[in-house]
Amino acid sequence: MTEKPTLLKQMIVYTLLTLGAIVMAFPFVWMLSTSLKTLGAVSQLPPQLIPDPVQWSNYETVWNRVSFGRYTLNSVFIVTVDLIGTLISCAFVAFGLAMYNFKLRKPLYLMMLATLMLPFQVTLIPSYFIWKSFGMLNSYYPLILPSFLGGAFGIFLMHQFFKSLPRELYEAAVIDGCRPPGIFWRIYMPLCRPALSALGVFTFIGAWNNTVGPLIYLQDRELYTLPLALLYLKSDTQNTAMLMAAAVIVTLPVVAVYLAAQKQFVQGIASTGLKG
Amino acid sequence: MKKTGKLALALTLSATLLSACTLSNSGKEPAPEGSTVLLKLGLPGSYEVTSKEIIDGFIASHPHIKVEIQEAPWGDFTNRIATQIAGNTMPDVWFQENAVILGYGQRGVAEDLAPYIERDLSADDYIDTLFAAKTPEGQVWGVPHGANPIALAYNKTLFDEAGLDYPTDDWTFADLIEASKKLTRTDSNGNPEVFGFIGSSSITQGWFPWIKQAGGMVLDETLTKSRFDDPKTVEGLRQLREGIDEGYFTDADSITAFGGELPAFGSGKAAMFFLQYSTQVTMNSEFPDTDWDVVKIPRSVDGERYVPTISNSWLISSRATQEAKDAAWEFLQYYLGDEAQAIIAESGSALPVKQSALALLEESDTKPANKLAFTDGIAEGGVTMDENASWNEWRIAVQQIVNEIVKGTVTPEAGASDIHTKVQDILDNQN
Amino acid sequence: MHKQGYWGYIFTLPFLINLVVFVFFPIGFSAYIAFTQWDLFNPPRWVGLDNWIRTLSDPPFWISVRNVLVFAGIFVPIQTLFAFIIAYLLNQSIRGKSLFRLFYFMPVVTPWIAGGILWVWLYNYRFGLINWLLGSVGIDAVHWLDNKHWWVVIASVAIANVWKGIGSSMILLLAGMQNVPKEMLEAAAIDGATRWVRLTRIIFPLVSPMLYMVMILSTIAAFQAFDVFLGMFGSVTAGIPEQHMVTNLIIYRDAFLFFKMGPASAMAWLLFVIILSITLFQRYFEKKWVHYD
Repeated sequence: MTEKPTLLKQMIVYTLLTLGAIVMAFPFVWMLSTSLKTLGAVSQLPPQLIPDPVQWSNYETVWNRVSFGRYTLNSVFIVTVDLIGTLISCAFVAFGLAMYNFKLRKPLYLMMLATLMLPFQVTLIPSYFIWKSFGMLNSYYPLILPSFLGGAFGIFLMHQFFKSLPRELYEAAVIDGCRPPGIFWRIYMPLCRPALSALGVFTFIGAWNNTVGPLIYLQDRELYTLPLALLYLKSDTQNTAMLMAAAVIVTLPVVAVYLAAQKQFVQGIASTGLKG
Repeated sequence: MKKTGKLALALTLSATLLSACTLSNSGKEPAPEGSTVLLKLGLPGSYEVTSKEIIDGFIASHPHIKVEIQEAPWGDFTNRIATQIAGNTMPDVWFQENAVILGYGQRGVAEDLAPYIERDLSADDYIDTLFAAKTPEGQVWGVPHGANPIALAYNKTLFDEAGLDYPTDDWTFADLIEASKKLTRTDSNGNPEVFGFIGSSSITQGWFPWIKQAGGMVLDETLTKSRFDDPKTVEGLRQLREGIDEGYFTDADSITAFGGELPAFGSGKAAMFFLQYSTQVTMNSEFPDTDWDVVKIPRSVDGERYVPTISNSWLISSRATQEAKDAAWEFLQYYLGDEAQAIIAESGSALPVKQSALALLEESDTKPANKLAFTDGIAEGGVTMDENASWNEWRIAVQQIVNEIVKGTVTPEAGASDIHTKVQDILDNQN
Repeated sequence: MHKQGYWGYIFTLPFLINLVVFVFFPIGFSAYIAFTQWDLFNPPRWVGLDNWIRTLSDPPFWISVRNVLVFAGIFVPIQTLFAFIIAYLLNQSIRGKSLFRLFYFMPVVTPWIAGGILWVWLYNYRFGLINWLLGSVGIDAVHWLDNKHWWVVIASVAIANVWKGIGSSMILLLAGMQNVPKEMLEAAAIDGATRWVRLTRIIFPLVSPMLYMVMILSTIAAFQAFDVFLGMFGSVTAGIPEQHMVTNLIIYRDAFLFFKMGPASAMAWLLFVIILSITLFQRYFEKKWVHYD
């Protein structure tokens, strides 16, 4: 914006934004605050924001009660593989949809949109049958293999991005003697970084918090992920303070990832172009 | 669009045919050979809910049984087990809420344990709750993992402050109401400071006991007919509503604000509470300084005592091989034996069902001091909440309307009449 | 578009496999089940149109559809509008942009375990913050989550869901706005266009494609909302009133708690059809207000 807005306008903007920010962040702050309280203090009215006494030990207790260390490693592993699979496969498929004209193109694109609308109850039990027939229950396969087959949201996003790049890029690569796989991997992929980081953050959030998948496909405790740890904890205690401590532990990595990717992130979606 | 439509239709139809094939092929695996038997044991909530000592003890004393433990989180366990049942990968033995077990029994998922019990156990060694999963037709679909009766918990400090005598086992519900009125205090602004009694609207601590104490019934003895047309049933609901309305029982909003029923009682905001046995563990760990004790649930108008008891029950999968079933029964026998039952008694998270183990509790030195309120209470009047195969369905239907009654948006009479129609409908469709 | 069309098949092959295995098979499966009674244990029993007739003539089903429609009708416009406003404000040259963006994104990452407890407390009739604020300016307290008017309850949940989701929409819209060429705005300003004109004539049209995508995604999310309702109402067994149930909850309850997969599948199919129709409906209007260059 060119002209400098008046001081009054600026103040109004700041006030509104700050009020909004407080409303947005307040529950998280409350979550943090409760995680440090003793159970007696949780139900106190009016509720205190700064706990007194501060019970840091809640975190230690929670960490030890359910093997958070192990579960964190498991979550990290699954999410990392999921990320790699999703980023590569979505770009791969989107490239095909964006660059080539073939008979199935339009139907495929529309069906991709339709998959976004499937309620999970429809797919849950049939998927279980599928993995059972492959003999892959109680393993990480059901959680990571599908990510290599592309997902609707990711394909959607990458498709927009590819379409916003100039067509001459492809022609130039052909003249240079490149074949389609090479064009994809060596020319287009490196340009994708902003869009990929955008997709990466959304994928991370989804995979990190995924509860239903691990719940029905993982049997051995050593394989469990963090959201399952939260579920175990709910059975073990009615202590809201400890539950909040666990919730904070599960949430912080996501916040960290968001912060790290923030800049790329906003830029990334911008470069997917304006086409909806 | 037409092409998409045709393609989608074609693929969907072939997928439909494929599904029909899949379901008819859900068969069993053949039984393993050899002298050791594999037993797949499902533990929702893992060792937090089932003592590791018991499991280890069983494994050690039964070397010919190879136990494969399948742990599962307690929360959302229903998702997991439902998927497993659909895919026929469930364990050979696991436990869930008693009512769910009854539902399983009706569908054929659970093995009828009546013959096993008759052959190997002596019913006199146990309290009636052993047969919590028994149907009126005589089948027994499970045995208790642990029994959880309620008792009347009271805050001694608050009673002292109000100058009242502590509750006794001879109390009736009328005494309860009287005392609540006297124990309720408001502060200078007219806001409630202390409530006499926690007016829960839940089934275990709310409407079921209140209906029974007024002489009413929920279902009839055959568990196939609704008794919500009984005026005494309505009266029970009315008394519960009145307490909340007049302010000497807590209301739902206050309970939410206090952080839950237990924190409300534990932090002294309410003087009396129908406490479930298992929550004594939390009381002791989170509210160790509260001075409290328990007595049996007060008597009803006909002089009887009804002690609603929740239990979780073990069941044996009807689809397990006979060797696995026998191994599972050996486990259940061990579980119901003196050693294991004593461990359960000690854990404090549920009551054992064997009389010998119940006796051990009389010497316990943790709060509440008067554990007889639970042990004698359950022996005297332990009842399930009219659990049958469609329990989950009809009790949710009841709960929906009881919530309205308790809030006051519907009168007890109108609500009960509505409940009656709905519950009867569900019971009639129970196939 | 390039002549070597067959490469299209090669590149999209992974997704084709995905569609067949994880989309068509489940859809076909649940379509089959919808014509049967299946308790997950015994073989499915063919009942023909029974489930469909019973569902379509069941008042609680239609009440739940009504609730979901109203929920979406409140949620989507409010969230889109506020996300747009915030994105617009955060697009100005103000300090602390990153910090603000972080705060507005926080709810997206806060699990419903925490968010649910907090919002239930905020809405508490007697002790909740919202009623306390209303009281301090002389307005009577309102029963937010157990009002005798069902639409108040649905609206309350919708607002909580706005809180949760606004960060995602905001990020997408912000990116869309950042793509508006600064030179265009500057030129317009020099030509004397007011802020309002710049907003409605330049920014809005250029951002409209992104706005459209956000609307579609929010609508789908609204129909599939599940966790927010559980977070605000507690579990299904706690006796959520019929007037407040949404279709997704009924499907879950019937399938996993009552072991009635047949009716549940029929309902899931109907829900899918409803979502599809609305999306097609939105696509029809797309041409009227979305600008592509």
